[in-house]
Amino acid sequence: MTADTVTVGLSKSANEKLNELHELEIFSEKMDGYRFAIGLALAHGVVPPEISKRETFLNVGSLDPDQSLRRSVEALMPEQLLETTPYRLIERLADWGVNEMYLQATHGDIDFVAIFDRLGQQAS
Amino acid sequence: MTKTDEDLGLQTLLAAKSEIAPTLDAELLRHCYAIQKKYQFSDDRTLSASAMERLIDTAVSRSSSGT
Amino acid sequence: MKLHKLTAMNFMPYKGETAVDFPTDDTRNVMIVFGDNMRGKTSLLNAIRWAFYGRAIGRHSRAIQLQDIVNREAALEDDWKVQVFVQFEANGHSYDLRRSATRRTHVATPQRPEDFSTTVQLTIDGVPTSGDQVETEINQIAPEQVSRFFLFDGELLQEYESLLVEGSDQGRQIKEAIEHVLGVPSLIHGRTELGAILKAATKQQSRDLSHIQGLEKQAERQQDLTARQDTHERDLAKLQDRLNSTRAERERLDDDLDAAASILAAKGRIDGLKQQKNSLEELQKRKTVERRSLLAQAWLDLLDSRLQIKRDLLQNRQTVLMEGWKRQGQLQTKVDALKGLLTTGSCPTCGQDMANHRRDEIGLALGTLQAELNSDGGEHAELQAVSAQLAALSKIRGVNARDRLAEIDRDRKKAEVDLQRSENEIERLKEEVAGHDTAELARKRVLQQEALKEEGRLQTNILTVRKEIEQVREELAVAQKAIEGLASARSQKSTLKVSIATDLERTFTASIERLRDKLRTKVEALASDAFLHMTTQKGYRGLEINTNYGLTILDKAGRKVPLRSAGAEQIVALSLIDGLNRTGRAIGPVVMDTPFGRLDLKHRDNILNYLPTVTSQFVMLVHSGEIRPETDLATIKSKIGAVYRIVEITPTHSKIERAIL
Repeated sequence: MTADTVTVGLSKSANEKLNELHELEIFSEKMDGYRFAIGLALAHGVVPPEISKRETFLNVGSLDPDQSLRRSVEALMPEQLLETTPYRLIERLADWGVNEMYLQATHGDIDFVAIFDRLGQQAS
Repeated sequence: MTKTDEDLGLQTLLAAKSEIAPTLDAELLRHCYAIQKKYQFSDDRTLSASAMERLIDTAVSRSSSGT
Repeated sequence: MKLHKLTAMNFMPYKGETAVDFPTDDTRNVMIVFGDNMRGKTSLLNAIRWAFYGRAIGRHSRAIQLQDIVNREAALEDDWKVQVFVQFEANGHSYDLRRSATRRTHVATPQRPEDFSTTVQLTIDGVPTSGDQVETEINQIAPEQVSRFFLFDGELLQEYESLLVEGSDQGRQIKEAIEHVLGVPSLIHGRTELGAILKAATKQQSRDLSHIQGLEKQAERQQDLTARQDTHERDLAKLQDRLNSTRAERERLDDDLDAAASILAAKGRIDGLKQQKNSLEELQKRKTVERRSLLAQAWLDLLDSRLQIKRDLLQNRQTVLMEGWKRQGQLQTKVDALKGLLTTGSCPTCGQDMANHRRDEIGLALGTLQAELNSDGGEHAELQAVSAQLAALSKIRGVNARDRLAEIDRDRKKAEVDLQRSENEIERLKEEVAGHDTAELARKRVLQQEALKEEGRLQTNILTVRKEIEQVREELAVAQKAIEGLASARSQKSTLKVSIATDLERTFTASIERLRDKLRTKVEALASDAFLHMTTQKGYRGLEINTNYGLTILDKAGRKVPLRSAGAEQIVALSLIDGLNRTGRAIGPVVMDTPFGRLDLKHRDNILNYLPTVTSQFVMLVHSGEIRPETDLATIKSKIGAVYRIVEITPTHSKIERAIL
């Protein structure tokens, strides 16, 4: 397996979207939104495709200091990790998550409670 | 004013007169009171004042000529 | 005196012509006019008042100006003529009184009373009275100062309680009105005018005496005294003027501040709401920050549920593996035990050497067990891996983001709603306050307080000066007696005049307080009588009157009954009014607007039975809530001579129609 990436980011279009969301001041930092996007994708159980026009802006050490994200991905998506590395996978998850959040954003905000409730319903 | 009230005001004056000014002419007192009754609600007091003075002057003349 | 007919044209809500006939029979002398509030009851009262005195009174006893007296709808149709005609009888004569006002020709839309020209005509037994005499004639029959007692607004009954408060403005005005009713002003005016005549006569006397030999000293003394008197009287006049203007100024400030009380209150509310707004905005900021912090960790919750499944799987696997490991342990122990046996070769229980077949058995068992032991391979490593992963995944726990976010969202929403509400309220209040200067109002309040203090000071000064005047008068009287004792002076006309004027003045002066007392006693007797007729309580002796014409109820033992219910207050007030009416003028009509306010049925019955017997006509203006025609009027049905109803056509147009009970 190739060595894992040490910087992560998003596709150009997703990065623009995350910037927009960041301007709405929903999250304190862009990284908070990035993490949420990853969580969102994992919660939905999606397997997102490769990213095109990749723009990196986060250091893996800052993003995942205690490796919780890596371990989660390892635990939840072991099959995908046969073909790629954890942080590359994480990047793809983040990309999907940002697009999803962008769709959900209306009137300058995201209804997070609704997101949680829907996921809860799906689970049960 | 009612008849009773005229009496009351006048009665009071006459009673006071016999105590305080027994030599005062009762008729004069009645006339003065009548003038006051007539002009009771007038704001302009000059008419009543001059009418009263005329009364007094007449009384003075009568007394003087009588003396 | 009896009213016969009233005709009104465009008077307040009565657009066009309205006519009312009063009952003139001696026994069927009650008239009832039904009308709900704001329809025209008080306007009917005002129509009579305006016809007689040219004044209409609104809330807080404020005059209603001519432009507001004209019916609004008529005014919109450019008809600015308002008239009231009253036909009545008094002292055996018949009177026809007509008052009119109409827009002056050069005025397009009247906005002030000056934009109207008014006329008043009075015909007595068909003979017209000259304009300047009309007021005098009316005052002989129904003096204006007394009108508050027979054109009676029931709402004003509360005013009478102010009579018990020494020095209150209301009390003072009512007291003056009452004394007018009682004829006291005749004596007061008499004294004042005689005082002036006396002073002039005294001066004349001084001049005359100064020419008589031997009397120069007396003349001089008199001149001194009259000079002092002049000075004091000038001072008194000045003080009185200042008092009047200070009082007028203070009353204006009172009015302004009363009107503004609500403005000041609104301003206070605005300040409070602004603070509230700030708090809410702070809250919003805090909640936003809280939300952002929470969102930075919410990703953990997103992972938690799926990870939980994984954790459960790992947990199960761990359990299985641990059981396996335990079994391994147990196997190992057994293997070791069997190995030990083979090594020693003797039975552990009995110590004898083992038989060969036994050793073979053990060897076989050992072999089987060892095979089993070896077949469990790699699971230990797996157990460690699973445990490690489980431990790591167990550290990734959610922060209850969903519920906490929901709570924050709720709080934010509420703050937003409250904020909007506060802002709306602030806007509304600002509009209310707009155009008013609250700093100005604060200044006015200070001025008001100062004016009150000044009034007090002036009143004290006035009393002092009055005393000084009295003193000078005494001295003049003494000097006069001395002069009269001198033959040379006695024959003078001026001496005589002074003597007569003095006698008259002193008689009038002494009579004032005596008359007050007599009349007060009379009012007390009549009011007591009325009270006993109208009250429902039987344990009372009557009423006692104080110097302010305030009345206290006395019980059978003659003790004062201190506390009164609102109903009792009303009865006492009505008793006073009846007492005054019967003391102060010939029996005449009494027109009462909402007389029953706070009274219970029994009291109402008593009033209805009593008042028509002491008035020439008793006109009641009642609203439907006050009286139930079918039941309340049963007792006086036989006394009712006319019934009318005020009907609303539009909010600015009412009609009076005859009705039946």
